[in-house]
Amino acid sequence: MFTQTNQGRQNNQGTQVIAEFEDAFKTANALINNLSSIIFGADQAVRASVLACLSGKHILLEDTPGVGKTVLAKALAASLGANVARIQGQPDLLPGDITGFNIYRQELGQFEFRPGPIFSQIVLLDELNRTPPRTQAALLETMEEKQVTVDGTTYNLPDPHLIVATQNPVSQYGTFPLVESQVDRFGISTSLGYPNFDEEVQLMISGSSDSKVTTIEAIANIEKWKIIQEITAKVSLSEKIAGFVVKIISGTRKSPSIKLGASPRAGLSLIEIAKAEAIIQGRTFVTPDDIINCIEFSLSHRLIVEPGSNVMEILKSVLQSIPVPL
Amino acid sequence: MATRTPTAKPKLTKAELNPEVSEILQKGNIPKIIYLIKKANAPLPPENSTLLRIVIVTGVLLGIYACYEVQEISFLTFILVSSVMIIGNIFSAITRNNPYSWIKIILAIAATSVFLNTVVSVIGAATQGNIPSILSPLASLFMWTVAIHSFDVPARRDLTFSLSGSAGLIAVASAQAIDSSFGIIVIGWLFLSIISLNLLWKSQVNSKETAKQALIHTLSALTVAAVVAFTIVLILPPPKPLRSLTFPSSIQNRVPVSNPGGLTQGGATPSAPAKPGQPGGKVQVGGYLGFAGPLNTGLRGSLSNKIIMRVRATKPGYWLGETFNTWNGQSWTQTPSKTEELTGNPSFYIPFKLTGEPPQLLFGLPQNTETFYIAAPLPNLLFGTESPVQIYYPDSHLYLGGGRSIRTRDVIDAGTIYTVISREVRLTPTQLQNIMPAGTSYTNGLPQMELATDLQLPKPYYRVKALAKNIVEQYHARSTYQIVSALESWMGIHMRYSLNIPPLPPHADSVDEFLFVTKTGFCEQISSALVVMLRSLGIPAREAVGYVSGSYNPITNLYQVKASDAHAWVQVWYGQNGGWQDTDPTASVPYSTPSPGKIILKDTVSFIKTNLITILLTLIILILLILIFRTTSRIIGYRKLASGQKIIYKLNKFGARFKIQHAPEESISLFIEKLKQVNEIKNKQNLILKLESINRQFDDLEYNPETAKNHKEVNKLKAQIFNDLTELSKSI
Repeated sequence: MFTQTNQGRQNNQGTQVIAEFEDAFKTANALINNLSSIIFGADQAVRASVLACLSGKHILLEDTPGVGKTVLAKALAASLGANVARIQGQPDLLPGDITGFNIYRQELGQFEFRPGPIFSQIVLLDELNRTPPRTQAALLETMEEKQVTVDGTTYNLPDPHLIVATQNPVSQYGTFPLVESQVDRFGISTSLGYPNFDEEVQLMISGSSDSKVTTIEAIANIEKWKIIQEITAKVSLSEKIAGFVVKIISGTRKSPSIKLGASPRAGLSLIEIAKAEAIIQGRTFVTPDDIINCIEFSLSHRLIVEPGSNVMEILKSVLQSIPVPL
Repeated sequence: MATRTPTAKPKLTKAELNPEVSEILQKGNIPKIIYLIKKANAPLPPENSTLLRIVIVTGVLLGIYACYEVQEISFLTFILVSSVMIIGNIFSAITRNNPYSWIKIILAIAATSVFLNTVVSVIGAATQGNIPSILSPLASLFMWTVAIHSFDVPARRDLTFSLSGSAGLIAVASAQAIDSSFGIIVIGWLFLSIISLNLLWKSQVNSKETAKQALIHTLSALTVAAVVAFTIVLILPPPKPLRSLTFPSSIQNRVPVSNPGGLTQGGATPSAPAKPGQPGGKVQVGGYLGFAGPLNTGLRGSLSNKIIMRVRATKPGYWLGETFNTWNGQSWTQTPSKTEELTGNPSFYIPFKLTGEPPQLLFGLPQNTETFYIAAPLPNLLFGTESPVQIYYPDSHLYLGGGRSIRTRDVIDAGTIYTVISREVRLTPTQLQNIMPAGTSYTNGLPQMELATDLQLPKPYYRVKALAKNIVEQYHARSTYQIVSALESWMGIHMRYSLNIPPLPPHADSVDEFLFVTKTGFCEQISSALVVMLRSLGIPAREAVGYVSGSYNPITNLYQVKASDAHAWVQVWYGQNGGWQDTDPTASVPYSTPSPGKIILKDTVSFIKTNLITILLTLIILILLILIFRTTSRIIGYRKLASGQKIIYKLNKFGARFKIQHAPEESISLFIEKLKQVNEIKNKQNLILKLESINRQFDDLEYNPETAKNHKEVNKLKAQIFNDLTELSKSI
């Protein structure tokens, strides 16, 4: 696919670049196949999590329990050869429970830092909105700066680092709504949803997927994951597409049914995700299709809409009013 | 949770769009009245649309042309005003961004002088009820105002003034319209004004879709208005007779005739009419040679279609000029030829003896009022239907000549107006039938002195008498009316009407020649033949000349009489109870009072019939022009497109076959995906591959910044895509 698109640029350096991109393309699609083989009927979520892996954005899944969020995180970790930790959100979860804490070692006569579960490459943060705001605040630094500060000492998180957070629908009991700044830190949001009839039947036959996760084949390792992320960042972006993105995010600010429109950070994040989409599609540049395909993942959770209106409907109408750049 | 207070978007006013205006409109401590004056005079943003300017100027020029067409202004004035108009508009178009302020002063002076000139000419020309003499200065005023104003039309509002000025011009012109074919000009003007109104609207809303809707709305509203107006005109009864105590009468320039009481040829110098025995010859403009002392039936010539007078009349009729009673075989003359003076100013009462009608006949008859607006030089004869009782003519003296002629002391020229009130002596066929029953003397009640002249014949006319008797026998005619009808029907069957008849041989008898040799003639020959035949049978008859009523103009409610409407007919004596009755052997079709709507319909149909080829050609040229314009604009538009838009354009053309078009918010892949779903393409692998390759190449060309850096690559890609597109459209 790459050779077809880029015929004509056959100098030495170009060939090497193309080989890199091709590698990333193959890995990304293998990852999608890997995940799809054990998670039924959640193509969107699978795609979103692969986009998150490629772009290095954290992902927020909004779902009811029991649809396979944990399996998804575990399968992702297994496929990438990364370690995974799980944090269960609950009202008396303290920041230290996530970041880790200093413990006094009597035999050494000094404090020693015990890293928390956040120091894993892939962190599954279950029911994030059941944690109190204080604990949520502790996550802000880890998510944006990719570091943790405990008692004045800053510890770097592993790279790559991916948080897969889930949140219960806000209407359920015992939830602390996520603040905007917190939500804004998640590059991608999606929901798994229930599988359809056939897929659910398939699921019933194949049995619990937990056992299958252990059998999953790793298709990459940490180093490769990191390289792929670097390649994704290299995907080129034309001025036209940048203008298109600006038109979209400013369109959300002007829409009367949106209380809070998309921020410039949202636009940047959208472009980064679209670059990952371009890799999946086998391209070295972003097209309007990539942007349009990623809008739901990138913007739907950031916008605050008037009560009673549907974010997706509004985004659709915003897109309808913006001509594709030619 | 962050809340965003919705701020109401303030509506931009005109002043805010133009900083200069807003500066002036800063309402500080100035008094309100000064503020309002400043606000009204604040410069508006300049109008940049050349198309709008051209359309409006064309509309105004059409209005000026309309005024010229109806002879309100001379050709010179037409050229002058049009040039001023065009120069003025070019001037304002160039200086629209910074108009000179001094020009306003010059224009104000010019406008004032034009206005004063109008006032002077209206005071000079306007007399009681003289509408045309006011209309002409009014048209000039309108025209010059618009022309002068054209130097100061920088803004849109000024242009709309020009447009309304052109409406005024059209209105003035249509009040003087000659006939319904003037409607073509009105339609043209309507077309232009619709375009300009639509342009004005379009640029205000800045939306193509809604402008199109507005055009549809305007057109449908206009259609409804036109249909309603036309229906009203159709069902409206004809205008009521005038009810006024004084009637219009005026003279533009007094030029006394050389022989008071005599007849002039009315400015129409006959340019070599063919004399008896000579072929060819022509008669100029209004000069019908019959309106003189003698009427020579041997002369030949043609008459123009120039309008020589307009008549506002209660009823249409034959506008009689004079009658002749003495025949010499070739020409008619009047005996006795002495004239009588008549005094009064401006109202003259005509004595009964003028027409020779029995006086008792004239009491209690309906009166008709006829006002004549003269448009070309005519002989010093006053026209009017039978039988005039009162004349309004602005002079102290008139002359009564022989044969019912009323002559003026001054030359009658364009601009002269006079009114004649006549009693209607015409009787219906039934009345005529009963008035002179079989067995009564044909000369019953005729004054003794007229017996000789009205039965006079220069020679026995054996052949003609025998023929007449034969016809009477054949038709079993007994009464005067039956005899007249019989002779007319016989002529209608055996004679033919033509204006192009050979010249009369010298010494030949006009009637004899017509009845037995040529059997072809025009009104003079036909009517003379009837008079001679009637006289040979002992029935008093005489020759009458004048004009037929002319074409009725439903817009102005005037009868338009052309030079070619000159006519000759016959008056027959119907005894003391009938008097002299008109009969027209040339076309004994009775006149009916016309309905305006029917006339418009008839005129339109005849206009289309006569100008079918022109109309068709114009239509074809128009369609061709529109096609050429559309094609060129499409080509130019296509050239201007970016490469991506060009590709979309081509794909749209391809998709049009399957009714699939690219929507602006749709990405190329989505569009191509739609194309791939089409039945004709779905199963053709090669087409799908082609489409997919176009999609990839398009993306690469349009969105890959790396490709864009490489010109060679870009050109190669473009060539490839267009090549693919051509192959694609060929393959289906």
